[in-house]
Amino acid sequence: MKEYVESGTLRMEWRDFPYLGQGSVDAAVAARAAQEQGRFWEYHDLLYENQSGGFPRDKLVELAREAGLDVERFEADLAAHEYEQTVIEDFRGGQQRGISGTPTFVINGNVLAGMQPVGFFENAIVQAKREAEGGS
Amino acid sequence: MPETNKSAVEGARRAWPLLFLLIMAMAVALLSGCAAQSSQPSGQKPQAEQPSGSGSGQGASRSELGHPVLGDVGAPVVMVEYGDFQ
Repeated sequence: MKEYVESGTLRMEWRDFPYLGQGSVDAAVAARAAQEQGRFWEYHDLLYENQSGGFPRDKLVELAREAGLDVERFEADLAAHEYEQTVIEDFRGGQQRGISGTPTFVINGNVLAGMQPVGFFENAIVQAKREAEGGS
Repeated sequence: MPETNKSAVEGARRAWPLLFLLIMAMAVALLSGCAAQSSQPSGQKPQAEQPSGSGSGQGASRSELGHPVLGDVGAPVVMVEYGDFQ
């Protein structure tokens, strides 16, 4: 995906869909706190790499340190419940659009539910680009 | 009445309507200025609706924290991912 983003072909947008309980919400809120410090994607990758064992508070903080965040500020944001509403709004927005599980991808309006092989995404991106540029 | 006093009184009589008109014009200008100010809500501009996901999502201020995004705003392909970290 990286080369499509870097070449200006692809833009990726993230929506929180924390449907697996409070741990999901906590991780999503922590990622938004990382976004506040300009490191959402770094933290996003760390969360996915460290899924096992769930996301207790001390683990979220440890990952924040690993991501190079200002940990004090990060903890203050979590304590202030700063981003829960943002996360919940994303979740509700997804539900209203008929999303029922993750990951779900919407590529130029076409929905792809569930994990797919990389080649599948590449084909979908190339096809979407062709359509966007007026081809078939 | 001496001739000089007479002409001074005549002059004041002639100037009075002009002075009255000047005062009225200033009052109207003052009132219309106040009305214009009160019809504008404390200097706020109307806000354009933010398109979904148009913000950079990185380092934005708290009130502007939009969706996290990666890539050019004008990219022909937009992939929205709904995800759960668990």
